[in-house]
Amino acid sequence: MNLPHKNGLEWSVFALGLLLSLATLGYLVYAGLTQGDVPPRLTIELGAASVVDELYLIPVTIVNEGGSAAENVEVLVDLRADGSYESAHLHIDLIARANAMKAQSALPRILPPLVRSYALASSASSSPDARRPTQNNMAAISKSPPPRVVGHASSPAVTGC
Amino acid sequence: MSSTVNPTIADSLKEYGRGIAGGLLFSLPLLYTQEMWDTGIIFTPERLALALGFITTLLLGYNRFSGLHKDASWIEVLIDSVEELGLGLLLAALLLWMIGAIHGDLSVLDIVGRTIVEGLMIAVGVSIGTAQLGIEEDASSDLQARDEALPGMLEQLTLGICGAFIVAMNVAPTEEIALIAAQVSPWHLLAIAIVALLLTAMVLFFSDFMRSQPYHQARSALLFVRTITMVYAEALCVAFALLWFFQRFAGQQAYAIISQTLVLSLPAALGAAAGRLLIR
Repeated sequence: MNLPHKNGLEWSVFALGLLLSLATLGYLVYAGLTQGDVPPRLTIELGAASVVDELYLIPVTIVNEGGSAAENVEVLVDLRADGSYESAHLHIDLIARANAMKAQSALPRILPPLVRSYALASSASSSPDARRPTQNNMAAISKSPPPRVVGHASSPAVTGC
Repeated sequence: MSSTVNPTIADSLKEYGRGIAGGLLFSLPLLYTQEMWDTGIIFTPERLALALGFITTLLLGYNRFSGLHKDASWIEVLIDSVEELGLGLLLAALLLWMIGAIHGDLSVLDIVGRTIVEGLMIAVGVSIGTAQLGIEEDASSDLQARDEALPGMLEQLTLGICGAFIVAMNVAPTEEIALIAAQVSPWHLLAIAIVALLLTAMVLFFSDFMRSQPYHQARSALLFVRTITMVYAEALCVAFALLWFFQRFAGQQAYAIISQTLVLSLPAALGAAAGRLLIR
């Protein structure tokens, strides 16, 4: 086998290219074998609500602990007070696997704030139908203000590749 | 990088410089595109490995037929392709880090995914830049002879796919393809297909495009029909493959799939026709 004429620099670049290519391919094979097709798994954390003018500002952190990215995540923050009802809706395009996204929802202040509960809904799907939160995937998180609670999002659908 | 006999370090550096410039020239718009970053995160390892395999094959084909290296052995072609792939991945990682698209908060798989998706396009650009952007002072007669000969079928196919890929890739990951496909009527789609065919004919046969002399001189109706048909078939295949790769067909009906493919076939056809001439 006749090797082409190359100087030291060119052989070095070739060696680097070979190393990078094989390492990348090797890692993909490893990741494919070990990670499998793990769906996105979302958990939601509500921060302490703060009052600004006539609004409650509630920090929301959505964590994707699954093995796939979550697309088109819908979050519904629900505020109930003695028969009154307000909700805020958040849409997040993409949350990478093992990653978190922070957002803030603003809800009108309901007086008197005797009982408040926060309900969340999320979905992870590219299907338009799955973008609409339903009663089935809403979960009550807290009933006592000011809330500093950890909740979980129910039934995130899989974003498949 | 080249098969030049005993290249000096300075020659090699110049070639790498051309390759890097070509890589950035063709891929910079995609480096700044959110959809491309997201693609690197959404894709499974299997799909990323498939992309790596496709681009490696494309590089092997392009390096086999481009420039004046048609006498190069397959080992030279393989070495060049590996160099270009490595440069593409390295440049992608550096540039993505520089613009903040890869960072410590991402998982390793996401960093690798983004680097691969962007790096593959850069690698093709490096290959084209190396082959096309330099001055070949000593080979003017060889170049002239090459430009006067009609390329072989496999060469035409390879260069056409490469050209279609380079042009169509710039719009394939965007939402606009699906948007246009959903908005337009079948008559619009027919018009897109006709314009794609006319553009192909214009580039190859009627506009004195650079290196188009062999197509002009042949003056054969059979060659005309065969070439136009082949270019558009290639464009449709590349458009379909890219849209499938970017998962634009998930949950779509047959009509939507055909519409999107036709919408993307216009830039792909232009790339396939021009690629036959410009990136030889």
